[in-house]
Amino acid sequence: MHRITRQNKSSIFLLELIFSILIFIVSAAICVQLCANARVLSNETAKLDTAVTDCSSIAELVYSSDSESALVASLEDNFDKVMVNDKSGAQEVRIINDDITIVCEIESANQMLTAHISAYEEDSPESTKTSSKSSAASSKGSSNDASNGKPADKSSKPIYELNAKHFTGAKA
Amino acid sequence: MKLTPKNRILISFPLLLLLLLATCAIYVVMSAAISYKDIVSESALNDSARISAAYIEEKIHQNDSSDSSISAGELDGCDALLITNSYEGKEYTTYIYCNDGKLYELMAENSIAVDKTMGTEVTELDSMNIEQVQKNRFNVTCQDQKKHTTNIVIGTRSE
Repeated sequence: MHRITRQNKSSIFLLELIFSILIFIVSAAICVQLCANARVLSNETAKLDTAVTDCSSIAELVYSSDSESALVASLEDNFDKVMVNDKSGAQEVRIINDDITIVCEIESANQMLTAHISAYEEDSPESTKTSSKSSAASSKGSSNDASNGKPADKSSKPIYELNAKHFTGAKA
Repeated sequence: MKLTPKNRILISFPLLLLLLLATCAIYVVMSAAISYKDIVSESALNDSARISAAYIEEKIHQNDSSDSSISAGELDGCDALLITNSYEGKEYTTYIYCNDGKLYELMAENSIAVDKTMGTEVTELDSMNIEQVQKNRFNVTCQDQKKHTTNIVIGTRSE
């Protein structure tokens, strides 16, 4: 009969420990991944909070403005980095606030002021380039140069969108 | 049994591994707990300033009618939002203000003398600034205990 020596006992204990450590490593990797995901999710939530707050503020400005020019002036008053692009029949206002770029397309037709507000995460190289350009623009307040105000990577998906409409007929 | 150097290694190595496993397990649990605590406290603080701003926004919109008047003012030296309404021929004012790290609300008849200690606590807030930039527009800035700031614009539509 095979006799269990002290050396054999230690070997079995060692083998068991190695298995335990392997299981532990797998579990620890899963835990660390979960923590990292939670952190990423928390940061995304914070960005979404900022985006929602800023978009709501812009919508409030739309509701309390009587004209397109008054709205653009209000946006320039309330936000630090604002760029204005004149397009045919509409104005595009780009606002950079913290890590968020907000693109606001403003139209005014038939006494109806309409704004389509989209918030993007400012992480693409294109938008970083724009961020530095926008600092120059902000010192002037606004810029009408179309090439100066092209940050946004329109292909990227907005993290938040909001449409605001305001009938200006009664006040105008 | 005689404890030879080989035997000593055979005993001490598994024990060292066990110790390592225990240390790593404690480290992972501790770091996960710290990370979770940070995330929760950050999110709570983020909510703190946001909840206050949303509360003020809701109050303004709720009273945005021709029967009420909304203005920015002061109560005992604290920035306050003043909402005036009439009920059964009497004028009442609701004060929303920040004092001692908390947001308070106080509703009182205009003939009664009020001070900042009389309000009801709403939520925790470090400081609040309300500015009436135009007749129909307010800028509200709320700052939480860790100096995170939420700045919102609120527009009113009533004439």
